[in-house]
Amino acid sequence: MTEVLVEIDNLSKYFTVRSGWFGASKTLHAVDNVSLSLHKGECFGLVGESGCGKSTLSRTLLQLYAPTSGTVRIAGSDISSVTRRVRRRNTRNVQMVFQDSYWSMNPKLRVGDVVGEPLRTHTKLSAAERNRKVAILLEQVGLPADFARRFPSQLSGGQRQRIGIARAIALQPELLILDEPTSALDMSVQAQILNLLKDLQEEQQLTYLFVSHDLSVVRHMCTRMAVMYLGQIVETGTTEQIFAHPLHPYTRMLMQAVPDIEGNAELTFYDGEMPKAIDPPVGCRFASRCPHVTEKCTQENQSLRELDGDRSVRCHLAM
Amino acid sequence: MNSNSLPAPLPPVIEETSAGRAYKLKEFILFLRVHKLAAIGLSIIVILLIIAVIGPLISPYPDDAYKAVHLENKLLPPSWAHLFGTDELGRDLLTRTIYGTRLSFQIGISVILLSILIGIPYGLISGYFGGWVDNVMMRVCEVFLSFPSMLLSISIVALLGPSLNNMMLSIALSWWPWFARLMRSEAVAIKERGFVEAAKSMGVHPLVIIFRHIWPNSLSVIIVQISMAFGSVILTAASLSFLGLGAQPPTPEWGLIISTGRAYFLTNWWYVTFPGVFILLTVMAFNFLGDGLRDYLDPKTRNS
Ligand SMILES: Nc1ncnc2c1ncn2[C@@H]1O[C@H](COP(=O)(O)OP(=O)(O)O)[C@@H](O)[C@H]1O
Ligand SMILES: [Mg+2]
Repeated sequence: MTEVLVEIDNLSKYFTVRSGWFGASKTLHAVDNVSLSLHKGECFGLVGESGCGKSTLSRTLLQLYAPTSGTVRIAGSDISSVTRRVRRRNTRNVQMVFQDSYWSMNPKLRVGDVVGEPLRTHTKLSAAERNRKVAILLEQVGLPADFARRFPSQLSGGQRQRIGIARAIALQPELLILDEPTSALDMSVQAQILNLLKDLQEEQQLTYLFVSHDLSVVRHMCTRMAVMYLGQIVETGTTEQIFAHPLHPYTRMLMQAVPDIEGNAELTFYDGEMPKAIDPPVGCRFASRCPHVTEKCTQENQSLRELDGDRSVRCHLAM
Repeated sequence: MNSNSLPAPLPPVIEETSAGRAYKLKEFILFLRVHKLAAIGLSIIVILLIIAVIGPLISPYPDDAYKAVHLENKLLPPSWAHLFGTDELGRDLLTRTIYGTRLSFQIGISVILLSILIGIPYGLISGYFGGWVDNVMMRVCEVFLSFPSMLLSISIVALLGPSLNNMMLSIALSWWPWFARLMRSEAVAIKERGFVEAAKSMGVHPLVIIFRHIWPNSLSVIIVQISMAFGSVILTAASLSFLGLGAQPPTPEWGLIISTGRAYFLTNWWYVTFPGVFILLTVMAFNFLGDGLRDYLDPKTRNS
């Protein structure tokens, strides 16, 4: 069960940004020295406020961005390998369900072609075989086969996200990245999609990287998780541990914002401003918002400390 | 997944429901009702197109289109026998104007086809790949754009020798960069959209992304540009022929007819008037239609 499938090792992705036309160029540390390992068949949660670098990390895993430094190994092979054949195999092994299903589907293609695209790209199936496979995939995500002839714009948000899932599982990828797959949906639809994802994972032994800013969803879905703040991982552990005893002040802050059962989230009461990871200063990045800030916090860089029981935390105050 | 359990194949992919098509048509007709100018433009174009297609059938004196000479009929004013009058060789000007319509549409279609065949793939590739590829390709484009298009066409014809084909080639060479630039900006915008990112992440080949994802989503913009360009191309062709750089006698080309007729302008008004009116109508109609289509198809002014 604890076979490691994905090894992210000191991965960084920096962007060069410019303020105004003549401003000096600065470095935005969107993903900064992230190390994570995902076990085969688990659902690993990645949480953090919007803008903390979750999508950038996902895109790097998809090879949409070349990493600034660090490596990612999937089933032992380096995704930024120099050989085209290996890179191509990796595009097949990692698939993503995008947050905005409307934005991520070509409005001029029919659903059958949208779902069939990965098959066209990576298999030699004939058109008829592909259509049959598409029908199976649609059935797996709970949609009738004749949806293949519709256009994405003729579907509801939930149906479209099911199409996005069908497309992502078409090639039976090793790793499925779910980048806030339900955040654009109504609560009731959200639950249906989450259940579908859970069922699919059980049936097909898929490995999920489940990205979300919603802790309650992560708690429902994931066995292990990491909390991200301004490009850095600040806490990792099993979901159970983290929800029972959050160690990092940031994690505790997020927990207070978890919506209650009725889903009445209250996400606007954070103290302090959400800074950007542009040329980050020395010291803890959370210091500006932390209620427990000490002198040491702003003078020394904090490292991710390993604790007992497969946990780690980036805070010198946490025990 | 075992292949024995495959369900029956999907029914063949047919077009959208006829109800959906009818709805779209209704919507377009409604639009034409509001946009009177576009409706007028479209009507004129349809009529001219019909004239162009069935020209030889409706021309009263098909032989007069090219080489016939009837000196006994020369320079007759409009009458029931010759609705547009006759020219200095006694040829029926209605016949020649009709054949001119046919020729102008042929020129327009050929030139536009050639321009988009070069310009569209050029712009798509430049915009999609970006970086130095884009830089080099756009500099080349700008070299063409930096000359006034008429001057460029004239120089090319002067170089290659005046003829109908060289003229069409020269106009296409001055037009393709406009299509290239337009397609480039479309590609630059569309490649940021999620479905392109999704396709990239799946390892879809760049050329497949360009022609399967980007191109179909830029169709509406290209249709507007084609409509606008069509009128200008026809006008340019008439101008070059007028200058003696395009069609050669006895070709019934509007610009050429006017060029010959200008010697008789003061005494025989009908000679230049009718072909002139046809040029005017054509150019105007395409501009009206293009303007209307822009409003109709532009996602910025219409949300669909
Ligand atoms: N292509 C890019 N160029 C420059 N900055 C970017 C780019 N993509 C993301 N960023 C910046 O990186 C940070 C992380 O963004 P993102 O990964 O989208 O966060 P999240 O998905 O957690 O909301 C943000 O500050 C964002 O502005
Ligand atoms: Mg995001």
